[in-house]
Amino acid sequence: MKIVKQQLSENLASNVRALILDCEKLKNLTDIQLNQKRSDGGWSVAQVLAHLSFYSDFYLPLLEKVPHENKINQTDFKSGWLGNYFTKLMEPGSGEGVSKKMKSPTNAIPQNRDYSPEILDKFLSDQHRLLGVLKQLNQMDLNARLPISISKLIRLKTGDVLRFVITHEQRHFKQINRLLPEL
Amino acid sequence: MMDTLAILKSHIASLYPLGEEELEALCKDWSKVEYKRKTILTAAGEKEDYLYFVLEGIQRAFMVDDAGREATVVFTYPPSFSGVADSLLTQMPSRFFFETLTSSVLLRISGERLFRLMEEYPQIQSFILKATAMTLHGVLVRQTELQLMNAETRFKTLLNRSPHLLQLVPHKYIASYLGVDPTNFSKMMGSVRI
Repeated sequence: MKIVKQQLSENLASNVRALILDCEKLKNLTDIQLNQKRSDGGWSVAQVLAHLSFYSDFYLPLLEKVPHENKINQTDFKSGWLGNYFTKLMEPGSGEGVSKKMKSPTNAIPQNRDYSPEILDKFLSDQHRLLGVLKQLNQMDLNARLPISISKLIRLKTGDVLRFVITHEQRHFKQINRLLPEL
Repeated sequence: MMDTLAILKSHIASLYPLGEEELEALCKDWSKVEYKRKTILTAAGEKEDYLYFVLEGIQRAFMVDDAGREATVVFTYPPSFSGVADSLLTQMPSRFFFETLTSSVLLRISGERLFRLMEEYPQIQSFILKATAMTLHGVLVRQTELQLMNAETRFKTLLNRSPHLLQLVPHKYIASYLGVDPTNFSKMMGSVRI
């Protein structure tokens, strides 16, 4: 996948803003609703957010330290094949359901406990940090490689990490939205 | 791009008599952007980076309260300025979401650039001050309307001011703007129809 950096920045930013809106709307849930597990034993809203928080805690510091390019030569970003593969794997799929149910890596599984509503504020603050990174996209070296959370040996291009992280969040918010009518 | 700049220039000229040099300088660094419908351009908690000028489409600014309810505060459509202006001018985080309701084409200038122009050209600063004052006037008038006029009267006022809105904007947003819940809005639509 090849895209103009400015376009990538705009697309990803509007996706993040939509997640901010979805999360703001969760603020009217009671603590009980926030922590209510799904009827089939799936994660509560709070557990989903805790899972996403794990990824933000891992990736945000790395993204914020990506070097800015010295030469103004790259207007485009070309995806790496592995980065593209991971991102596609995360895509929510058309319609309401997700295309494939996947197991989370062990280190990213949320604790089996109740969470306070602060988990919402944490998610929001992480999204604003992400927006901060996206606004710098034009100056960043999107080809700089970053490790992924499941293995330090696998390094993806920064542009792909951003796509992967945000697509992953969108996938989980679809999950949250499916959970809401039950609460 | 030439046509669109002409539209911008003529709109500014209709609001304030800027000198030729100032008008040229002000209209120089706008970029054209296009968005699909339901694209959020500014989120609550984010600082507004741009002043927008609408060429095509309808947008709205809205707030979400702690109960998850939405309050639509303004619709913008051509030709008018747009974006979360109070956040841009105060450099404070926006309280509002700003999104496109239909696919939109806008011109935009960065806040940075605008402030530099305001410092360099006193007339540009006066223009921004006047535009802000007019907006404040509109907001105060609207506040009195919300307090004194019932929903039906406000609905008729809206239809008079912006007749096309009803056809282009999903009714739930108009209901939100009027402070009416969607069911009552449908009833109102039935009885007030011109």
